[in-house]
Amino acid sequence: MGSVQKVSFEKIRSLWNWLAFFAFLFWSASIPFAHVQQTRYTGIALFILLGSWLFQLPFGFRFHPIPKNYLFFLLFWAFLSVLPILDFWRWQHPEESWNAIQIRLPFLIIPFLVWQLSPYWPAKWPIYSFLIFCTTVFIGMVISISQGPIYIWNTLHSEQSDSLKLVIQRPF
Amino acid sequence: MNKVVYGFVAIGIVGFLGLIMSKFPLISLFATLGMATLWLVFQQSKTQIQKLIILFFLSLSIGFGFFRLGQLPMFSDLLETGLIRFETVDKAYSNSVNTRLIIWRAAFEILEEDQNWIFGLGSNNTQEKLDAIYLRVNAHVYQNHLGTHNLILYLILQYGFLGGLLPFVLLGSILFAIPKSRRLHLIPVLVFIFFCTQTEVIINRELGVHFLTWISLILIFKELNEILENREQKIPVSE
Repeated sequence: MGSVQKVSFEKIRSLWNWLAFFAFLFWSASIPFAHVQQTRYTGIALFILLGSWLFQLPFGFRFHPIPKNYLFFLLFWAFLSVLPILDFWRWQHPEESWNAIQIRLPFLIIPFLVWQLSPYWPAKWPIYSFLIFCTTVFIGMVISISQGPIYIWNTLHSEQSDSLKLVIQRPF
Repeated sequence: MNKVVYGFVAIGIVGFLGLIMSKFPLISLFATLGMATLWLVFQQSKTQIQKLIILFFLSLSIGFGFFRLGQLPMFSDLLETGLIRFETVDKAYSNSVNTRLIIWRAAFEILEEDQNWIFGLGSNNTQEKLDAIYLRVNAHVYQNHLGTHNLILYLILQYGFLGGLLPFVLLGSILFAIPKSRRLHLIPVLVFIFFCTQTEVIINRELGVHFLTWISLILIFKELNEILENREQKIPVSE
């Protein structure tokens, strides 16, 4: 009975890990259009990552401690994300401070989740993620270049908001 | 053969984009940095012809970028007097370069006059003070309520000493972490990102936050996983 239960637990964990892995790839693909899609797809991917980690907790999930060499690096990122708390302390328009914290929460949450989940992903997960990111950028490029050089020129030199403009003009 | 074809295609696309973007001198310089990255990436596999083509596009991009910079009255004034003065800014004309020079000059003026060096001014105070300076200098910048457009200036103005310290420590941590992972060719990528943060406050944009998080994950965490795997292999199996 115990072994059967162990196998089923392993299957559940494996399923959640695959789901988290695909959510991470989905997030990588959606990054170039982050400004356009207004948190929609990144939100979905992040909630799947978080849910996958939380649902694994009762099924014997092992916590992976962060090596000391990198703890300093990660702590500073976490500090950067919660720095707008200073505005709460000053009590000046706390809603803006809250917005700033919300937009920088990925600095705090994603590295932790990926560190906990990635040991169960395929070993080349950074390469897969990079390839998917490049594919999205490449597709965006091809679509925009196919519009013609006049379109690119006008898009780059005008103030109009355009999803393709973001792909071409600047990395951020 | 494939490497040569891919090399030509990649260099052609980057060179084409560099030429388009060289309308904006600063972006042209960033494109140059990107091409320098390409130079390092192809260093191990490129032929003599690829070397010449990369050199040609590099020199073209750098030359055109500096030519455009030299043409701007703001920069010629800077070269002649050694100062960027508000009086020389044309109030009716703004582009991405002189807009930034106005903003940075205004930010430095706040730093000189009434900066809270310990805790910073906060988001609203900073914008109000910037707007007050824009109002007497340039209508275009004032109407758009533009922010500091420089990550370090933004952090120092809004969060004081603590904020100003952060980007240096962050960059230092990344640069110290990368040589251990033997991926030295990624340093130009990070230098490129650092230069981009000098003209935009990327942590105020969703795209910037996600991109920086993602690129750091794929650069650093692979190394972390390897450390973890080695550690798990060394743990004796007692069961």
